[in-house]
Amino acid sequence: MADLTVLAVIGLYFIVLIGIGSWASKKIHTTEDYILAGRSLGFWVFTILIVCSICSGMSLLGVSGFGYTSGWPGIWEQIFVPLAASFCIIVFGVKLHALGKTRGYLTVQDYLAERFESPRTVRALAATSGIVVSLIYLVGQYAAITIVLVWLFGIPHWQALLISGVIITAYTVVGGLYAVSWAGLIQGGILILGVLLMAPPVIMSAGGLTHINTVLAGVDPNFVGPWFPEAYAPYAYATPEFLFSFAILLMVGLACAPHVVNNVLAAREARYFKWAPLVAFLIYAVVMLLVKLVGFAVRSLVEEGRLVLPDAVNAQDYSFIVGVEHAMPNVAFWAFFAVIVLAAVMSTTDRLMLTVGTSFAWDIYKNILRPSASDREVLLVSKIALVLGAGGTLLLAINPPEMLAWLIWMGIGVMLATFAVPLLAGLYWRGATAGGAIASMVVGLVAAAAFGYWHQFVAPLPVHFSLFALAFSALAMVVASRLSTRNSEETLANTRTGWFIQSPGHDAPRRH
Amino acid sequence: MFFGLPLHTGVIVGGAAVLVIVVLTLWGLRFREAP
Repeated sequence: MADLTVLAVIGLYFIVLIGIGSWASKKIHTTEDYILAGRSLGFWVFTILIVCSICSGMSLLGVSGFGYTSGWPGIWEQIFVPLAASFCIIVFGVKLHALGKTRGYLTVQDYLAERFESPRTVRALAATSGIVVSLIYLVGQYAAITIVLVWLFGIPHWQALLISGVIITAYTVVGGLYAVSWAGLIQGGILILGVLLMAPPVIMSAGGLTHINTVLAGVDPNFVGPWFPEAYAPYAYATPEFLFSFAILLMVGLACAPHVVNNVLAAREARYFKWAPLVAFLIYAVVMLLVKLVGFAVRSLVEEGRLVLPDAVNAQDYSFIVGVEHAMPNVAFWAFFAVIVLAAVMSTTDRLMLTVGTSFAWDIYKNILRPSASDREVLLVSKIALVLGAGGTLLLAINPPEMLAWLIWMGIGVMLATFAVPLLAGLYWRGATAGGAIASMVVGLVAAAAFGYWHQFVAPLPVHFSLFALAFSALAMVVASRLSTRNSEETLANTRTGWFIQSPGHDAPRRH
Repeated sequence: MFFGLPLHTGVIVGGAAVLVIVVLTLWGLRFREAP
């Protein structure tokens, strides 16, 4: 598949990324510049950064793969995942952004430490679990990059990993969030344009949407239903009760993931929170809907014997690649396609790497281990932690654990079970205490591991395992908070805690 | 039939998408930046 045009286009894309990193490095003078791009992100850079942090390699390969195996009942993913961006901006973003500016938070752990009056325990727990989850997620992202590069160039697995790993690490380590967000804008633009250009020809080549749906209905009538009435086959797991848990998992779990929620602190102005939820949803939903339709189209082509998927364990994940190859054999398109998939994967990978580096340097090193550390020292530690995290996950991805897919789902489930309750209760419930936050994180983590294990190795559960863990985590928050001393009124006032999104008195109608 | 889809699928999925868009539009219209 490798060809000079493909190599040239990918080479150009890499050069642009390195250029962004080099430009961004000149803007970095303090830790705040590095971690939050100096709180300077404009509307589009901020909105696309949120979308790109959520939209990963799984979005292209996994979404079309899920469409291929499960048909229309899987379409809810295209509403729930984009909604995570809106949920994050509205439910977490408005309040955290305002607080971040007045209280000087650099990470969400800064907020949790002040809100729960627990500068060490809650901070350390939240930072450590955030780092671990991000690392697991990183291994999965590298695995996705590898699928694409190996398929495109036929180069060995480790070379593919090394090339992509070195490029991403280079621009992220020198440019911090400036580089990640501006690279995200370019990557997001490529992704949107690419999918808008490439999905329609694949759908047309399969005979159009009406024909595709007719073929799908012939395979299984429930493929064109809104959900599967019951779980009667391995692919028929999107039942109404599962979809409910899926909605909570994706919408809330992804929204409170550290590499997503931390972005709200970097927006320049509060007025962005007015339309960013709708804009992020629309962009993401349209792009992902098209990717899903490609999955349906490829299933239809395969059923009609016009296309064959590669002989692989995860054959469905090749749907998008095989579909585009079928519809557009032209090599120029193919080169552009390679860049699209790389853009999708890299835009999440860089944000995850930065989250690992900054969480360690700011929350663990500066705030717990060495409070006397200078700004320069924290920056250096952040860069070292980023490189070590990237290197470690690259090594893991060269020989990926057999249970990689399970681990990634565990990662999202653990994010939901450990972060959602402390963050939501901290922001909106004045009765939540440090005891409650610690109990909800620990119980959520243990419950996620137990139910995740049960579902995978003992007996399948009717809903996603994380829903049980979330319920236990919430229960632990309520019980432990009731049993421990409330936080001081001063802290609750400083952190604008209560059942409102904007502080009462602050949200009087005001026209601009 | 709606692009070869049963009507109820089109109505349920399309309705959910429209509902989300309406709610987010209302949020945008009502949001006032804190002073």
